[in-house]
Amino acid sequence: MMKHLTDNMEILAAYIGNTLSDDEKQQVEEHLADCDNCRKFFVLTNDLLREPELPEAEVITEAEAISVWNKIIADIEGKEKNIPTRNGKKDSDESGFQPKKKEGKPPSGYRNFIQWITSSYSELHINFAFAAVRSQPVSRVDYIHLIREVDGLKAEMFVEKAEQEKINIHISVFKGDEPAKNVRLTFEKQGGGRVSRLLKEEREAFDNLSFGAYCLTLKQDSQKKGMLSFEIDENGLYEQ
Amino acid sequence: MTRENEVKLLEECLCHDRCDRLIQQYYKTVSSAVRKTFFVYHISFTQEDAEDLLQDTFFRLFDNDRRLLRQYDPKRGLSLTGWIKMITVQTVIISVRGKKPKIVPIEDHNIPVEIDLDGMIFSKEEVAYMLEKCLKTISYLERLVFGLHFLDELSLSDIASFLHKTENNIYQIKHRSLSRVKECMEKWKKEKKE
Repeated sequence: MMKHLTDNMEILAAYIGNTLSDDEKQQVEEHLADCDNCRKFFVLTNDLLREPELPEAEVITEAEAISVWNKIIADIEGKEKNIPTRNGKKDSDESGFQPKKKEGKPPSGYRNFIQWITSSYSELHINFAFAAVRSQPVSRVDYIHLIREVDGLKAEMFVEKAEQEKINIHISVFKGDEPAKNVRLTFEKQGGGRVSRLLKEEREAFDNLSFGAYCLTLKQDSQKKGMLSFEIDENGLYEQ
Repeated sequence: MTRENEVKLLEECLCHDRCDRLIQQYYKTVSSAVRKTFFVYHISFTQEDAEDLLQDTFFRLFDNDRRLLRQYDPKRGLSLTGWIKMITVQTVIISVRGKKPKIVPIEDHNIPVEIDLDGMIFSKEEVAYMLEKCLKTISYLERLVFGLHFLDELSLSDIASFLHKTENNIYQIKHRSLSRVKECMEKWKKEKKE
């Protein structure tokens, strides 16, 4: 028997987006025919989706948005530490409570630090095509997703933490919306080690690299387009 | 909002921890959806209730490593705006489960206690019971269109749009469902007469 659509948002989204198979559509319709609550939810959702989007002028200010974001982070952190925060419960001590941020101040010599993000394999598979290129699916994976503009090209890097201080890096390079042609990618590791490949398919994988400092050079038609220098360790990625 | 801008907003939040921009963009959209959901479910609410649900919606989106945001997949055919609206409705429904809807005084209802069907008097409970039985004899699609049109009061063109079918198709299904239900109800009236 099908789950209620109120608890099965993905199926409902796919039905509304008209991307289900005929069998799946029929299952949804059979359920809607007999479940008043789900039918009501379905009608309301469709109704809301038809409403015109609010114009640009209707967004809130950046300061208001940051204030809301900080409150939510405080709630989430409070929940993780079992501290009651709002909704009729005792308020947290806002003056003393500092929400933990994921992106810390980069150490000197680096302009940017990005921490590992943990996600489930299936979520990555849905959201990032990079994650489809794996030999052994694992249930949880730490990753960093990076996009950088390099002289008219867009370099998209998906860095995945593998076992024993190793990383897999998958790279795509785009010109506009299309994969860039005749691009050579060269990874040089500080202290030795160099690997260079021509980008043939939509992405190129560099697997089993160890933690350390790297310099990635992009060349197109033998002309150097740019360089990305970074260091990767247990904590995350530091951009130079 | 274009698909490109949605992807950019999502990536800023999921990969770079810049979720304030997403909040900035969708704050009023979520607020409007919260209010509409309360209204449709006939739940009276205060400004504070609405603000609480607004916060709850964003909380759910960002909780557990932004799990609900990460579940968004554009390949399903829905925009990010649509996904966030769906989550909003779900958040409000979860919160109002168990709450009673506004009570309308009985004098304000326009439902007769007894219903006259061609000279025969039935209680509304009897009619409701028979209607439910008759609905079970028709196909799931006929039952769905019947419910959407007569109970949820959607127009046939809205039903066609929601179910990704042609208006002509929906008209035929509605016509068929109505004649079958009528046939069933007539049969029941005859049996009652005898």
